[in-house]
Amino acid sequence: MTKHHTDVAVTSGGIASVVDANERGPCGRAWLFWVVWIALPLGCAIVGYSYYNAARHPDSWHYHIFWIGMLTFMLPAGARLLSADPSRGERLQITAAFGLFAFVPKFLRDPSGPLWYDELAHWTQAQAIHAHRALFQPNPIEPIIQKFPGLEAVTDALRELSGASTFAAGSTLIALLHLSALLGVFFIAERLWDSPRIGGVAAIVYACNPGFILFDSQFAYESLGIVFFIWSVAAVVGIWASKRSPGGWTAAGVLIIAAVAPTHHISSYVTAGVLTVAALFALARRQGRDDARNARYGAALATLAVATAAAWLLVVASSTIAYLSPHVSGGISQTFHLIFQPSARRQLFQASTLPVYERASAFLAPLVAGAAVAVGLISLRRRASVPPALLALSVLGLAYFPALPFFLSRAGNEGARRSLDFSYLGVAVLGAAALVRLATWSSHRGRATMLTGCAIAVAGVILLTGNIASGFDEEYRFPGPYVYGSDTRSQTAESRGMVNWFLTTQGPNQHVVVDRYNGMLLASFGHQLTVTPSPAFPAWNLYFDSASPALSLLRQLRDSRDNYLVIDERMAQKLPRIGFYFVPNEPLAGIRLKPLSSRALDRYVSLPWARDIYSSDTLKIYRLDFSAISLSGGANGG
Amino acid sequence: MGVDPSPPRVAVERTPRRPRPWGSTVALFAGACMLTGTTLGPVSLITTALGLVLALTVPGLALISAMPDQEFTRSPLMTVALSVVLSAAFYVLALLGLDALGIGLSREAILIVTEAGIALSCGWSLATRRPPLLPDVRLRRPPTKSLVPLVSMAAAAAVVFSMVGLTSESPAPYQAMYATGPAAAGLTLNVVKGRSQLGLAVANHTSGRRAYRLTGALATGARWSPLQIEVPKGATWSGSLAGPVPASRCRARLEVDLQDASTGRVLTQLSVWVGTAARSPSLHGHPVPASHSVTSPDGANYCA
Repeated sequence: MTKHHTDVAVTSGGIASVVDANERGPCGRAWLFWVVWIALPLGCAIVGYSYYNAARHPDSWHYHIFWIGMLTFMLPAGARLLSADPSRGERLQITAAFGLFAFVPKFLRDPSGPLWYDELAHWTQAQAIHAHRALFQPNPIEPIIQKFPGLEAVTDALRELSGASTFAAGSTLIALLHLSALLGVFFIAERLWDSPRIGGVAAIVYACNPGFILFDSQFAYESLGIVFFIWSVAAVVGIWASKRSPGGWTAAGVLIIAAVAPTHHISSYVTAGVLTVAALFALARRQGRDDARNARYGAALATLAVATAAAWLLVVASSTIAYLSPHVSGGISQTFHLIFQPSARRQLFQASTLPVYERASAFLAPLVAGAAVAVGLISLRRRASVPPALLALSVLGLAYFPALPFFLSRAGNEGARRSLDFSYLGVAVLGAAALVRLATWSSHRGRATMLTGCAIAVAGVILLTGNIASGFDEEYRFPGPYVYGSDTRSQTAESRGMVNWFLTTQGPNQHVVVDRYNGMLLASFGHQLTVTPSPAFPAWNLYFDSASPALSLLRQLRDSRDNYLVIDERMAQKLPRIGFYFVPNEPLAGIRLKPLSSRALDRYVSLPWARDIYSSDTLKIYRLDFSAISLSGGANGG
Repeated sequence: MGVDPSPPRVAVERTPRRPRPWGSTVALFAGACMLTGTTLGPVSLITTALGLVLALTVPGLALISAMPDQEFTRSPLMTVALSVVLSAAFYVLALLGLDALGIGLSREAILIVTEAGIALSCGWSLATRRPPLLPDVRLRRPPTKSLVPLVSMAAAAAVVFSMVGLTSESPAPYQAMYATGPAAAGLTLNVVKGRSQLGLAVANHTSGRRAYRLTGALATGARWSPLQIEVPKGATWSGSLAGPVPASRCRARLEVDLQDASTGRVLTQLSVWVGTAARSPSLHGHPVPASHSVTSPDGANYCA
């Protein structure tokens, strides 16, 4: 007699009950075990080679090599997780390896130090906290970071306890958080569907989200905040799945939820929202003593999440409202505006160098996700009892779709992209159930088994390539030649040399008027206080106008002790790659057709109050001497 | 008939008390001691790597050991994953607490608060007889197969770290010229007996030794004698350029060109002001037009 055993301990009438460990499904082969683990180092080597190739040969081969490397590991790993063969322990091992593997591309993008804009801002913050031995240091690159010191606090502790540099401590932390994030998703899906098979598949579906492989691998507060979010949800799921008193998960949940609010604004708000919805569902459907007890614990955690997020916002970080509101209100108004005026739409992949298959996948990925979520929802309806957290995550997963139109608006694009990192948890939990259902259905159906396996593999590749393509341009993803006005390709030996010279000869904490790209380096590696222009302080006019600077602006510069001006001659040669020279709300941002006038930049040579102190091939530094100019009144004082 | 007032006797079977988790506590204590060693001892690659791993897991594991109903300890990997998250949450809250109390985030303060957290968690775990961490860890697979993932991950890590130097692009060459002495502080160069001197440095960050020519010309027309220099790759030349400054009522602009000695191509320029102060009535904040002069509030008179 054949011994049939399900790979689940408890089933609630859900689809896991039909998942039989003896049914192999389309991908169940024992040799896949060896393929997965041989493919892991091989995939790392090929991905590494794609970066080597990109740095030396600026053609498009690095894209193809990159994807060959990624899929070398991801396809067999995904197939193994989808099959019914592996034990829970093996699924966890593959998921952990998947988490670490997903960190490799960002790490190899530039293993020498922080590179991306957010990374530089957080690295600068961590350095400042270490130097001053106190949290809440002002940040010249991204001022809001000052109010959310969670990531920097952890990094500083690691740095002090290990002797590692900020970059090494931060990279190790983010790598391990990547692993923890996927294991957290595994736990959530496993408990909600009572199946480790669905848990593993949910983890890899989540890893395909637009931010996980690159954006959430950078040293930035969201990379920690999203892990806290995932494990807060895991705590609620753990409470709900507890057969005895859920004290352990409650204690873990309290600690994690308390740490979200000081770490990342959006993570804390999404955590509060999801936990509240789960608690409401739980309170509404109490069916027994255990349910009532678990609902109370879940409600307590939700209350804590709302209270800490609200308290932090009101007491510590009230500037978050001003920081986030333009993205929210601007995104909503622009998106609705686009409905009536389609010609104003942001052109997706305008002047993009991404391969055609990536761009096509970017448009297909939401369709694949939509199909997976739809089948997942059908599976949900067939369950006799749906855990409240699964209902809450379904709501979160459905939030993925209304976010998509925001990609078409300039103001809403950034926020929409970031929201997907959260909503994809719901997509992953529902989509994984759909994939396992499909794999189970196709098992023992001859050719259908093979076809289903291929279809799932193609869908997975579309999700992965499409989501990455929708989030990042070539400059962010690959090393290569200098690109003016790119956050990641505008760091040159020349600009680093200027920064070192400035720090050595002029000292730290000098107020400098500088463009965004050189300013990132001056503020981070140079420890300088760079100016952030705004309509109230239009320092951009020092570069944009060929006429004399307004006396009012010069007075502002004098009063704020902005004693240095950095001119990059390339500002007069090229348009910035990301559309602006200083800040996104500067005049003509994104629509400028010609670079700045060289007359506007060259005029400082003959201005008596601008003293040339440094000059390299393309960079000039002027020391501003306001004693050489009268700033009292005048016709130009407006 | 009398009623027996005493309640029926129920045999109460006392469950045996759970033993104290001495094994977990000793292991965590050892981890805490090693963490102290990596924090206070000499820094090396091994101690740094060990310190990072211990700092990211030991506080979290200690917290897990103190929690009731540790069902998440069913799997070692899941326990480690949760310990990383709990350690991170612990550091966020602990450092916020230190900061709120006005205690500087020194190495000693962070170590003390971390060790205190570990000690309290272990003490609570012992006092409340919590179950030991990872009670069910067994090698259920044949040893060879269970080692495969570890070997594979180690090989992957070795591959990634061996590629670290290969993936960065080679730096683009450049040269820089900057003022030294008073001009570096933005000051006007003084004229002594009709001559002035500008301190200069030239940095060569190209791929080889380069010959440069430094020329100086005053906007009023006078030229300074050029200087030919050779600067090895990666080196910086320091020196000065000197020349006559004709007597004038205004400060003159001196333009210094850094030229390629062989082709004469101007690589970069620096302009400084030379001269003495002189009184003039007009005050503007505008660029100095040719053949005009402006005077600043410090009384200096600038001419083109």
